[in-house]
Amino acid sequence: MKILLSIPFLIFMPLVISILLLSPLFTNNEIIVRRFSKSIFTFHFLYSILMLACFSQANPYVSEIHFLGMDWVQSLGIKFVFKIDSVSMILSVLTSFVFLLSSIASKYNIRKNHKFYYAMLFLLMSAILGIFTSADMFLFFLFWELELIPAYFLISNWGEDGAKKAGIKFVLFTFFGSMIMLLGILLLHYYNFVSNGILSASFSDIMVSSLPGYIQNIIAICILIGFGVKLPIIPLHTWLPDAHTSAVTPVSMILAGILLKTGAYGIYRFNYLTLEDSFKVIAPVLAVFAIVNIIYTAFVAYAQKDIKRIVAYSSISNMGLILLGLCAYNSLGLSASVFHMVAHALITCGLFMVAGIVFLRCKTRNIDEICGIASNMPRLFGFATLIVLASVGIPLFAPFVSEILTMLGALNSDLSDVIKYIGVFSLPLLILSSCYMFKFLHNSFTGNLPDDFEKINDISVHEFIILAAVLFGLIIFGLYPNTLLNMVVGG
Amino acid sequence: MINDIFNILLPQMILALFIVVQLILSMVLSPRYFRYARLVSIVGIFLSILFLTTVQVEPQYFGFHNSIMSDSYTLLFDFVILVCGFFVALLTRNLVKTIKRNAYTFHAILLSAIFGAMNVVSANDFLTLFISVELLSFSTYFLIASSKGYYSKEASFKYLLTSTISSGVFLFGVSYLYGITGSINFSTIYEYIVNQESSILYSISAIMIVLGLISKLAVFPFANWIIDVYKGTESSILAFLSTVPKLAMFGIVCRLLVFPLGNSFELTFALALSTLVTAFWANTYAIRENNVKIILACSTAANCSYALLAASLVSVYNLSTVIFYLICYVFMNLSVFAFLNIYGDKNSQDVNSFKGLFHKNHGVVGAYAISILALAGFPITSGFISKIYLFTAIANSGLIFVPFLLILLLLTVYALFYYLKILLPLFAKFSKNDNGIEIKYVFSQKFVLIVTTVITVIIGIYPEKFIELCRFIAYNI
Amino acid sequence: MYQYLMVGLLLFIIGLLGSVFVKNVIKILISIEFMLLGININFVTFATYCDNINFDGYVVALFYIAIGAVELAVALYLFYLMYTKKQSDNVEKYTDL
Repeated sequence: MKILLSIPFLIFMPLVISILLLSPLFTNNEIIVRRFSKSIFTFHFLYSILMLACFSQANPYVSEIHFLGMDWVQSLGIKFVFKIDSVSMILSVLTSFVFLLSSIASKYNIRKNHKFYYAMLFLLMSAILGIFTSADMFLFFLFWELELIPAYFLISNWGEDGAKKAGIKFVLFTFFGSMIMLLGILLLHYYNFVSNGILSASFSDIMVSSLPGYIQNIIAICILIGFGVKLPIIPLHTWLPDAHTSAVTPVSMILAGILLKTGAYGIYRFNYLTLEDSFKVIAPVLAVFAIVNIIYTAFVAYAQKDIKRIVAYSSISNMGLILLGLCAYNSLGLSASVFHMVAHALITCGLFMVAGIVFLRCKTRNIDEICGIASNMPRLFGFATLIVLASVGIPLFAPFVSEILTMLGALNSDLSDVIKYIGVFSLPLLILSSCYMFKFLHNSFTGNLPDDFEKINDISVHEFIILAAVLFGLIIFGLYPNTLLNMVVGG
Repeated sequence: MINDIFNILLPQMILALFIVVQLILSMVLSPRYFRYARLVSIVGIFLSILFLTTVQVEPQYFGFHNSIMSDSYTLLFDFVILVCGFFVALLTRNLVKTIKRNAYTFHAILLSAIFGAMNVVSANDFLTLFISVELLSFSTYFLIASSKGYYSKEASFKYLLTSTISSGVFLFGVSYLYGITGSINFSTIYEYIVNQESSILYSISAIMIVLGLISKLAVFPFANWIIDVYKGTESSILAFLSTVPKLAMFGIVCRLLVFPLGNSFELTFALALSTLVTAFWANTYAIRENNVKIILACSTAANCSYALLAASLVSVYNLSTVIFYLICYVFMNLSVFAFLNIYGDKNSQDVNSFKGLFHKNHGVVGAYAISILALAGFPITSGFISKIYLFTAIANSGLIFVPFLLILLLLTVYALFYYLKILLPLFAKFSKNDNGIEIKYVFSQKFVLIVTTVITVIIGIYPEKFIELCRFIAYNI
Repeated sequence: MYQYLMVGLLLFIIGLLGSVFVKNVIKILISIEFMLLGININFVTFATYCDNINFDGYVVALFYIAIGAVELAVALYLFYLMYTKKQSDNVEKYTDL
């Protein structure tokens, strides 16, 4: 059993498949490549579910890989060590799920270079799983950098006009952030060595309590800037709308559903767990940034005409909520935050899927030009309505639970009164998000159907499966939130 | 004397023998047989590598009245220099074809440049150092000027002027150091200065010596030559120019910083400042450029300045990081220039003329892309781990240097921008009727490209052994 | 001793400034020779007054004279190769790169 459920298999299986697909020996046949990839994704999802089922709070999975009988880079104390605790377990399964959905969605959206596309998907998946499971700072950083290459190709190669530029913007922004983060990591590594005498970069070996406070704060801020680009926190967010809009639908699903969560996970892993003391100092300031994220981007989203841009800005808004949950610094806030990561991933997948379906049929995403398609696409209308209702936080769906719990967590925070006030002020999110979401729904689905759109068809089986899966997830977690919450809180 | 030769100088002597052989062949053979020149060089370098095993390194050996030394440090540098020379000799095929009559002379000069570089590293007094540097420089002038056309002459002339002026500055510094200490031998100078308070004159002379030497690395006061010279030089010579002189200079500058010039705080400060200026200048300059060779020139200058910053904050740990960084760096650069050599110097070097090459030449362009990614510092290549290792060295040097590190890291983001500029056109689409060019290459070029890329990737995946080696060397200096 | 050193320093500075600021190629080469002379005077002075064991300074001076001559020869030859194309001794004409 232990051999079967190994983390390296979880992470490196996609990597191996990616290399297999890149090699010239593999067939170029589009259908074979697609079905092969889809079956691998399915297998990976089932495998991760199996791991989740066997997972227990008491003993998280840990595995260490040795090269020729020793650590990876002994002289720097870098180990090839992976660890899955409850949060990373949840996020790993989520990753697997979102990739499965996006591979299903790829059928209608990808028209060229199938082999390369799926290879890049697998590579990205491997990198992201690596981020979620690595238990060593430099290993984390390695995967963090590695993720840029497939992400760039996925954004720019299959996107529409301007995707190249958006891809470069994404890479440069993230690289900027990760370089500042590297500074933080290097300092943490060095000062940990100086004060504790252990040359190691593993999270478990880092004890910051003996470090001087100002150095902890410097390190924490450096690392936060790195994750702030990915999350994104407001002044660093400008890459996101471009990248999400110009990427092709399945890639947008991955970007919004998983890639943003790596930033949140990083803050959890580095700042929340490792640099606790300085996090307590920074949390109130961070909460202010979170509320700016929530309110400001909601207004910006309301002003947008492009469906995908609306969804992209709503993602930033929701990431603010996740950040707020972390800032509360109590178990309620944390579990709400993780729960919202899952819920938000499902919602953005659904919304980007809807946007992609509309774009595929109507060749435009401008909500002023699209109207009345509900009469031709009743099933899509039904799904879209339900997902939009879920996203604005109607009871019965998962986001309701997480939004309420985040606010409760913020109100119960012991750190500072600022966080409590912000917890109160984050309530308008529900109203604001319903404003822009219903605007989108109302403008594009209702009204008279113009002649151009007479011939559009309703959703196909593939699209139906994706939307149904998303909705199923949202309802399940809305009805039984405890399954997830207990898992997080226990840890 | 004879003993000294047999104990430490056999590799150099083999090279010298082959220089003579090449020169004799150039007189004896008709130009028809120009192809064998490369073969002779390769054999010579290979034999020289084999004879490195005879060099006595443990304990340190001082020969010729303390003017040449050998230890594991020099042995490592000699080895890397010879390997680089081996690859460069493999790449010279296209160049030699255009100068058939002078093929043997050309290779004799190439060998003597390598000879000079090896002697630079093992020099133990300033006279030997000066002569070896001049041997290296003279050979380099001729190598640069050897390709046909006016540009190579202009590049060579510009390099000559900078080198001459900088060697003047170097010797002026040496003359004052000689005045202070009464000796030009490193060991004697070290014994003298280690018990003394550092004086202003000592610091000035140390700064002049190091600035004179690092002109070959294109660091601030003598940095501008690199753009013109790289633009006008053939790619196989660039593969030489961006590796061998760099290795030699780093080899000797690190030793100087540790021993005879190690007593001057002002030197550290001046070096740190000038490297920062260089890094800033190179990275900002490259962004505006579209010529691949100029971008690579700037990247060379920037990379050398990162390593020099770490080297200037002298410590054993830093030294090991610098050595490791250099080894990684030369292989990346060799691979990049091997691709440029395959691509051909007659074609336009504008980044946009590389458009869409990937679609017809997966193998070579893929290897090239990997090495550019390595230069930019992406994981699974040696660039990632060597950058991290180097930056830990700067981070460990104290909280004062954190702003320096921050600037370097931000400049790395700048650098990524121009590396992407090189990289992205390779994968770009091209119009429908144009199906892209298929590059023609011969086995030796492909061999260099693939081997260096594989080394880059191997170091990236499993760096532990190399780092251990570098630490061992650094602790034994 | 100090008067010799002053002469050496003066020659070196004249040479350095000249080689940086002068526009005529031949004058640049002459400036480089000035630098060489200044350095050699320094070495010979120090060898005479400070070094009573090895007299290394004289050796360096001799070597530098030889190497400087070769340097000049190479420079003049390269300049000749360039001159055949441009027919000018102004450095500002040689900016093709």
